[in-house]
Amino acid sequence: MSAIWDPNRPELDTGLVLVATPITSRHWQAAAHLANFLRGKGASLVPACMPNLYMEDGETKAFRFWTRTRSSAIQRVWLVGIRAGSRDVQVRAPHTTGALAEYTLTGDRRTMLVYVEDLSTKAIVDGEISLEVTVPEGGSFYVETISCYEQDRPILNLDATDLGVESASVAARQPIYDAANRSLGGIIDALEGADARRCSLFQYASGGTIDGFGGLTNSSLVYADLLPLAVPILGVKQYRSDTTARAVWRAYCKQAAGTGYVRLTTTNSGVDDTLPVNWSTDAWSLPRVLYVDCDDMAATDGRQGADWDSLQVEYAGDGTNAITFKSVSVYTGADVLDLFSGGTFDRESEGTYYYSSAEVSSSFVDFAAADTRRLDSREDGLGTTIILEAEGNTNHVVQSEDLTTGDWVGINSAKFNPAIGVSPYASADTCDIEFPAGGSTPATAPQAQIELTTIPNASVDCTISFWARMDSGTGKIQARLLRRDGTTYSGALPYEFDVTDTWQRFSTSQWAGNAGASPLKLCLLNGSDYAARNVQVWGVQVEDGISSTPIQNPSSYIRTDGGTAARASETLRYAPGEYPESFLTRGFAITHIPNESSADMLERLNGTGWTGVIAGIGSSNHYLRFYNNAGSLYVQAYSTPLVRVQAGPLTFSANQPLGIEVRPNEGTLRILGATTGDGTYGDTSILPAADVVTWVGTGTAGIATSGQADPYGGTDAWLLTDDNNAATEALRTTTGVTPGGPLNVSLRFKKDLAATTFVGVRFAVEASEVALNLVTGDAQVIAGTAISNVQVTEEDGWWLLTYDHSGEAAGNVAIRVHPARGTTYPTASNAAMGSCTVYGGSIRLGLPWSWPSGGNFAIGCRASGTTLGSNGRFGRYVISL
Amino acid sequence: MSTSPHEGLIRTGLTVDSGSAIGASIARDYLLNNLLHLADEYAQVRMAMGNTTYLEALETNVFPDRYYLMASSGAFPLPMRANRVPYALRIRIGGACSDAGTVSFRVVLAPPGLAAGYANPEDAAGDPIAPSWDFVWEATATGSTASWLTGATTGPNASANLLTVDAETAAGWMVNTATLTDLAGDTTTAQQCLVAVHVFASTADLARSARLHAAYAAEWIGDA
Repeated sequence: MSAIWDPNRPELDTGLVLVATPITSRHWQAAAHLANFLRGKGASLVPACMPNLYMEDGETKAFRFWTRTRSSAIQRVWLVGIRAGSRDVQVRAPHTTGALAEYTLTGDRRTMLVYVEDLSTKAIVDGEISLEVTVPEGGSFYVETISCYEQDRPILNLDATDLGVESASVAARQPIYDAANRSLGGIIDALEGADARRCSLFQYASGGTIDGFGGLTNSSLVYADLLPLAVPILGVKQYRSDTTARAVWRAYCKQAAGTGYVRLTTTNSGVDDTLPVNWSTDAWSLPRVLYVDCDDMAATDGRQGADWDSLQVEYAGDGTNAITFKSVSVYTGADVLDLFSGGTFDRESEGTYYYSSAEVSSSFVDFAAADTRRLDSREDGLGTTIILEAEGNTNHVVQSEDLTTGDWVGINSAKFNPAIGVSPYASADTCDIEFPAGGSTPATAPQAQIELTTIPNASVDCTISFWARMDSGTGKIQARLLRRDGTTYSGALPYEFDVTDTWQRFSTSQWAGNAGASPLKLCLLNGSDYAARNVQVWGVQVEDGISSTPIQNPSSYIRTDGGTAARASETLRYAPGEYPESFLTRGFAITHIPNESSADMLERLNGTGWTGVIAGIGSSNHYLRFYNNAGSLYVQAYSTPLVRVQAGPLTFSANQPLGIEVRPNEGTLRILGATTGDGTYGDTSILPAADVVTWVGTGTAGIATSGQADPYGGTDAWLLTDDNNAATEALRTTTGVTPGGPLNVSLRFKKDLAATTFVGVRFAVEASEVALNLVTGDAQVIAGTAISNVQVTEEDGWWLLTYDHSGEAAGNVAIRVHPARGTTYPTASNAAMGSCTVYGGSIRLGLPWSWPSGGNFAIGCRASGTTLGSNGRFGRYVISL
Repeated sequence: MSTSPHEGLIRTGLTVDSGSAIGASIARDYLLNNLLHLADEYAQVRMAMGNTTYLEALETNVFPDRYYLMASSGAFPLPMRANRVPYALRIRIGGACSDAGTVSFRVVLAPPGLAAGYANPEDAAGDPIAPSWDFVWEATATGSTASWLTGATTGPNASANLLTVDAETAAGWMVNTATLTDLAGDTTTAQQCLVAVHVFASTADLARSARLHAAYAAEWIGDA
């Protein structure tokens, strides 16, 4: 019995399905065949694109595309349009690892090569698919076009992956019932699992060598067009009132230094999305969201109007350094959490944000009311507007804007002029400080002073910040704190800033003094050239600092008017049902722009510990977080009780965009955009699960004998023997490997119903140990606390033992097997003697996991809504993987 | 055009178990409607290409007025409707001439082995005749600036941007493609209307050539 696919998709007159009239078997049959059509029909993964790449003798090029495949596909058909004379061409997919096929071309003409890629698993893969083309010897050719589609499945399995509906179960006179893959139950399962996506809307790959060369480059700040004509783009209509469809896009690119950009725009739907590229090694960007026109089902050709919605792709360097642009993919299927709406946002005070850049506007700051999101739009090349989240803080300056109220005092002939110009906040004027010429030291310089009535945290530096600009031209201004020492004040040398006629926010940090060293005075001094000048000043802030680094970023501005004021901490969380459930298992991608550098993060918590939550997932104790691990900064995916995978060490500057992709099911974590530390972490075998390994007897003459029958018909298993009554073990060793994170261990032991002893397994340098009963397959931890999730499954007369090992194992990790750990399971005894047969053995970095369902998904705070968040900004969308 | 009664998906909180009765409205407005709409919108994008460079017909200078192949999408299985009419193809072609003159383009939706014949139809005596099918679209380009071309199919529909194939023609194009039943590797065949979008071009002046800068082709449920 099977689910048969009808190449002619059924259509039926639903007008004949009437209330109070039985639904005919013909309708059920049509429904079943439609369900099978939707599951069995393959999707286009790469619409024909035009690399038009010239390749010469001996070259190999990889063409990379990103899409989200369908779960039922088992073959991909690649079509490669070659323009060549008589010569050979080699093709494989995926690049590097696919089965190589060689084609012999004749005549100078266009030839379409067909390459079929058989898949090893059926699954939705949100990832790269690729093709490699080689000119093996002699001649050259053009790779003009490439396309790829999933082959149709004429027969579906009756299982939970294919969701085929058994054709016979909907035949006439059959009962209507609820069962997997049959009748109505099967139809509904297939409908809910239907994946009739228009998988890829646009794909382009220029082709590049596998080790990084090739691609389009542009060092200019002026965008270069990828396309001579913007190419039509239309998505699928979901609901009747929809006029747009959501898609996501990624680019495969790098920037030699500095920041380059890739920008996508559309003609009708108004997309204008800029990706900053600040990584120097070829990599796929994080996904970004765009909304394009969708089909109009009532229109003859499906378009929404006379104009096509069309896509343009542009790329630019930074004026000096070139961007290298290799691929761009626009595809569908990812779920998205829009951080600009929904969920529960809390902040018990107002908060400040940028609605534009000082570079383009004389006023650019605004205030969001309590419990209102702050949508920051600094036009600083970080893409579209982003959401700002921060911990709470207090401004200790009682008068932050109007310097003429009397709270501020002019010293050494400095004075204040009111209503000089427009402040960064459009609704408020600014005043200036008029510094006359004169003075020669910080003490004698003209300056403005204000006494702080509350005391910033003692023992750490506090952060001074303010906006300043010249009435015209350029100038200088200095800032420092003075601490009272008895009847006199003293302080560090002031920090000097260069001021232009554009508003800039300046900041420095200074030691506030030990507890009791109060009151403090904040001084804004004339520049150290002591020339006469007028400097406009607005938004002065002194807040509790976090470290002793010389300069650090202030938090967002807190306005005051006659007294100190606080900005409350912010939390943004989504309840179950408000965020995609797939976040917990398949994972998600998020962009985070920390407000502080990695060095500041480390210093804020001077010792091992976590320094801020990027996302809280599920219930308490499940996080994506920054972590100070022995003086190095990591991003960790933590799900109690273990760190599942960690990425780092990382370094980055304040306000540097970090892309983070976490895939629980795969046990991986990827970082993109850090100064150092970019890459994918986890899911890395440091001791490959190879079929041929070497075991070495150790201790007191453990014996390891190779050549034993293995589970796959070979002779690659080992007999390990303990033939004395001491602690005898055998090792399988790696060298030079420092895991740097949690590990997953797996080993196969031959089932032995006659065994009188049990096996012990541990790492060579750690005490935690698992005991395995060779007769029953029972296993349990018999020592230590680092081992968890012990599982044993039986496969063809072998026990497959797997377990997780927390913490960071030492270098040169080795699996240590004690063939006869004891005679009475699970009591350890060195006196026991016996043997076991072992095969394979792997140690894998990163532990696949799933976060618990039923809890909140929180951004920049814990899932419970409490803080210790990571201060900074977040991209608008969290995107499922 | 839509075959689903609501021209879009319908949400429902329906739960189905052995004890549930499925009424006509749930069957029609949810089950059948959503299946039909998903099948309508299964339509895939088969060509979406452009580049800073362009493709040219290799043999344009051999015989004037003959159409030579510039690009192909590669053969793909066009989805079929219940009446055995394939889904339509929504196309847009961006081209230009190598100089200020005029060149002609023909876009043919057909199996690869037949496309050149449809691009260059002949009468019984072997003389060229005009094509007259709605799966052959033609346009001209004048000047060397890349632009989207305005044209129409050569059949009775004279459609500006929809290539269509009738059931009888499609029946002759059906092939059985070998594929697998599952990962285990057992083989079977899939019945498919395996066609490709081919872009041909021609010039009356041997000194000039046609340039293909961009092309788009996407399936569409059409109005069969």
